[in-house]
Amino acid sequence: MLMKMNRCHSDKIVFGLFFVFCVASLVCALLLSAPLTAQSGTYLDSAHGNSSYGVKRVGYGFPDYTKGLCAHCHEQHASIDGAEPDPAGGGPDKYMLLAENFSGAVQQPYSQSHDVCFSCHYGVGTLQSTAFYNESYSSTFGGEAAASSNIFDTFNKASYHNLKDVLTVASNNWSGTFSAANSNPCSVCHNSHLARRINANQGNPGFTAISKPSSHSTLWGSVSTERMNYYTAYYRAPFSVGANPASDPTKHEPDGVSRSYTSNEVQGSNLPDYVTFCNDCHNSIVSSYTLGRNLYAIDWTASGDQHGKGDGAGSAMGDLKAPYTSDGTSGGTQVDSTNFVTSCTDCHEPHGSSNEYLIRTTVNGSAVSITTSGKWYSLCITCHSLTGDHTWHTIGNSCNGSGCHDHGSNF
Amino acid sequence: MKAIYGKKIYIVILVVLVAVCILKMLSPAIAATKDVYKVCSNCHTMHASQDAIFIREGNAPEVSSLGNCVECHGRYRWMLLKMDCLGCHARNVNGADSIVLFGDPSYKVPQVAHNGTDLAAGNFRLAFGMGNESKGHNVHGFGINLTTVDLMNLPPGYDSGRDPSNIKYDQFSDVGQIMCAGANGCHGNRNQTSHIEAMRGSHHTNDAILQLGANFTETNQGTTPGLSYRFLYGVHGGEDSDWQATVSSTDHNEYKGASSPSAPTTYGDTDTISEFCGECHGMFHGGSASPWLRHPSDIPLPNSGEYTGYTAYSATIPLARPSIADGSSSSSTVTLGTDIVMCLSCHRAHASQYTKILRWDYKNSDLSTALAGCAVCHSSKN
Repeated sequence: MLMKMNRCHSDKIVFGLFFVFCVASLVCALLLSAPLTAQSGTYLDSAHGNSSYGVKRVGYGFPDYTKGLCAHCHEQHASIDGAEPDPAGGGPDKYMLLAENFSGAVQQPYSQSHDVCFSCHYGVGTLQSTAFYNESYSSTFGGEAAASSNIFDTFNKASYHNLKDVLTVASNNWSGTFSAANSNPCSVCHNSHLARRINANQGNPGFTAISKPSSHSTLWGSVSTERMNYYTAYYRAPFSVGANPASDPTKHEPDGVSRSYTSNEVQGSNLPDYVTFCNDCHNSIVSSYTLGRNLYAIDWTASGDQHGKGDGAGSAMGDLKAPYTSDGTSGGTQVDSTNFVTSCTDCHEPHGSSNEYLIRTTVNGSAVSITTSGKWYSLCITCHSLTGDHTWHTIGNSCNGSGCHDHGSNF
Repeated sequence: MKAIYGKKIYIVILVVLVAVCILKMLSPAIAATKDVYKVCSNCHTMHASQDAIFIREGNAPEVSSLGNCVECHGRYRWMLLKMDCLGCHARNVNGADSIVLFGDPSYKVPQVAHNGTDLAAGNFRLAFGMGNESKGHNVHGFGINLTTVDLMNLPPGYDSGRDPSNIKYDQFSDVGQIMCAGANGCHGNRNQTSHIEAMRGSHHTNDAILQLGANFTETNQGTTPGLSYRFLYGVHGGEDSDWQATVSSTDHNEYKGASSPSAPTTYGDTDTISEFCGECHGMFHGGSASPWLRHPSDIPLPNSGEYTGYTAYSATIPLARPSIADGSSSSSTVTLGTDIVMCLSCHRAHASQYTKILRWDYKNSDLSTALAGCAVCHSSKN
């Protein structure tokens, strides 16, 4: 009897183990049979890596790969079906790119072959399968009318970020990341595998397209500590085109959505901290091949520029216009106790401009056209009313001539 | 009676011992031959005739006056073979068996084209009708299924200066396709034009040193085609016993790699699998540092940045080893900074169901799927 019970008990144990084994095998089979797929990650979230609007090269000898695939920019062997696909440039290129990364051109005029990014960020003749546009900052975030622009044309405008200078600064300051001989100047500000599509998501800084040169492997502006309202409590977003200065709420940059001046967004919660970003390079002396001299080192600290944290409050010379008033409207009063701090992009284009010194063509909702070098009246009056000694200023005079109002001037 | 019986036993034993000694003296190779190949008639025929039936197996049609082609297409095949390569290794293209039991006694023959579970090198059947998708090497012998129009007859990236064969690859051969072996093929001695001559003796070799397990050693590997990984002359490696019919991170081939690429100039100096591929795809095998002109091969996967995401051996995106220790079995361990990116990290050797003989569906319309292989190493690009 005891033997029978022991055998019965052991049979149960065996059956139990067998059952567990079967279940475990089934689970393993299901897991191991799962197809190999990439998990959604940073590249798939980027503008280039998006399966709907990402990179897609077209050209002779190039297969019909899905959008976003590595192959659109990188050629593993520089050979498809025995020949280099378009743009066939006589052999493989560094980083297995489809074209030469950067030619080293010292200044304008740039051609498409000078920078691999121009292969697609180009007008007629782009290698991107569908024509697309990268409008100016004034248009994308300021509400100015679109002009079917592209990055290549922008870098060939009157003033521009000199690509060779950008790469020189970066390779000098961050030689572990950038190489003068091998790197691409666009990559100094944009990590092509991370940069997101902020031009279609203007009010969402999570879609930032920039990476600080000092921190190339991460996006800048995607977290709250990298926004303008974290940089300063005194930021106020300019009006965008179509705003009603007499009204609050009304349209503000960067997305043209009508909001009150008291909102977090107007105070900079939806704008990357461009001051910190730009000053990665510009807080020290930068040599300009284009201008033939060094650029002024930007000081946005409390001891520096009055457009920055330097004390510019209470000036008797140039009253501030809306939205920089007590109630954000043109009917408000001066707020002498508030030292408003601007973002670099409030006045400057990041890539190029028809105005000199990359001055935007629309600032604070108003058109700016600098037709004579140094005469920036049309820029200044977008935010300032001229009072006191400034009444003699006319459109024909220069604001920044004779060192009156420059970056670094103390008034 | 007892004494006579005992004496007879001793005589029998003595005769047996003498017979064994004689056999050993006359045919030393027989003692070294794999057990499974001892039955000669499995592959050879003395008179191409058995029971008054003409023996000529395999699918290569009989054609007269074809010069070297007669080695397979002649009435009587070279070296008294009953069939050509595909006669053994593609016995039933539509069959479900990737490993066929063959001969008497039956032994396992890996199939290169079948309708079953793929082996490590892939499956030529998947490349049938591939057009310009380049799903496989357009190896000769599959007739209209793999034709001369499917691929050019010059291997992409071919550089004769990097081909250590003293015959070189002949892009103007009449066949217009790659052969299984020989100068215009992969297996055997590429210093031979004839692919049958190139394989002479290989199947007869005791290749225990190539089998992962207790007998494995890299010593003497590559000295002959028969002692080379998968009969790829010169190449070292550890052979999985079932050609990866079953495969996992602990059940797989072990490939040999190098910490920097080189192009052997003399035949036999090849020892890595990527060097071997480079014999015909030499332009794709080179470069020792960033900025890379072509995807690295025979370069260690760095122990930094995005590559640290590769933490366990992936049988789908495998890495090679700089050396394989004696007695090794398959290992799931990955040592970043040491284990090596190779051609087979991304490509199959024979064919696959994917474009460019890749290991994953690079042309899938779903981007995650198309990037899946890349993302195993380039984990920040996922």
